[in-house]
Amino acid sequence: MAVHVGVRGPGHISRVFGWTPAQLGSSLLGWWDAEDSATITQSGGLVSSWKDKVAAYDAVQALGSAKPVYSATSFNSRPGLTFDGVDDEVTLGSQPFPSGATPSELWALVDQTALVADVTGRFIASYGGTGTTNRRRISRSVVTGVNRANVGAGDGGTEVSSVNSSVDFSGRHVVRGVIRATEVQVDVNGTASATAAVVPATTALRFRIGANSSTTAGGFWQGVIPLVIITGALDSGQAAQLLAYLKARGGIA
Amino acid sequence: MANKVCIFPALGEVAARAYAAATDTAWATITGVPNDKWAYVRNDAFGQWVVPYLGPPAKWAGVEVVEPAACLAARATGVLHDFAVWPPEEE
Repeated sequence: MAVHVGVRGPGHISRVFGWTPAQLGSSLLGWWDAEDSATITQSGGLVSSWKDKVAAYDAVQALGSAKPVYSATSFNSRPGLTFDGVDDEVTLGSQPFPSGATPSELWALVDQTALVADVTGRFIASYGGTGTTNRRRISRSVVTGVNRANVGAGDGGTEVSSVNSSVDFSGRHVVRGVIRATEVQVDVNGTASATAAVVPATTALRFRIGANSSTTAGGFWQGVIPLVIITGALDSGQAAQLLAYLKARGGIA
Repeated sequence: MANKVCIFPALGEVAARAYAAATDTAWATITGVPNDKWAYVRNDAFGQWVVPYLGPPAKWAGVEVVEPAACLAARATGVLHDFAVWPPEEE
């Protein structure tokens, strides 16, 4: 029988830090948070459903082999979902997030555990169409022997990405993929990458956590994801608050 | 869930699907949920057939799954790997 997990109440974070992503107001479009026990359905430790806190958008996985594993202590001794890097992912069949060239931001708290010897591109989250040319994503790649975070957006003909070459993307991090009307950029723990010019042509098909948004999922994340947030374009104050909240929660300097 | 994959030859689709069916049946028994599904059957980058392996290190309720005998028998023509090489992404 499926059960809802329960470790800390959803109010825990707000009591500790006094600010939560809910205070982003209408800029907050999607918010998957393992800390909120009511949003996760699991059985035997395997997660079959992870709902967002904005509109209960339900990212699901029906196959036992592809379900991420819930643990109350897997991320900085707090709740998280562990993705195995082989085939784990959860999918929202249709996505309501900004498409075309409308700006959006993809934020995540992650623990990235793939080794540099593994050069597979691994996705934290991706939404849009089934191809590289019509999606948005935040992911991990290996560049000259170092794990790096990157953001990408397709323009209808090709995919343009920006890699954060400043921060070694191993272990726990806050990632912010910024997709603007004419460029993309990825911040890791508040350190920004160079921008890459692109006019996104994102289509509105699916949203996936732990893999790309292709028809058949690929690029599987290896590590822990306790939180994914989708927003509209944030102002500097909003971004600073969200970054501070996530760094504190993740125990990230 | 952490698991390995069983890879069948490109001409082994029938065996791959039979193995997948065996793992689905066994998984439903393990979880106690009728018709619960364990497996997908997908092509890898080389046209071989990939089915997730039902056995260690996969766990149910924190306990490592012991490979069911019927599954062991059904994967006789497959080879265990830690991961699959998936086809290139669509453009």
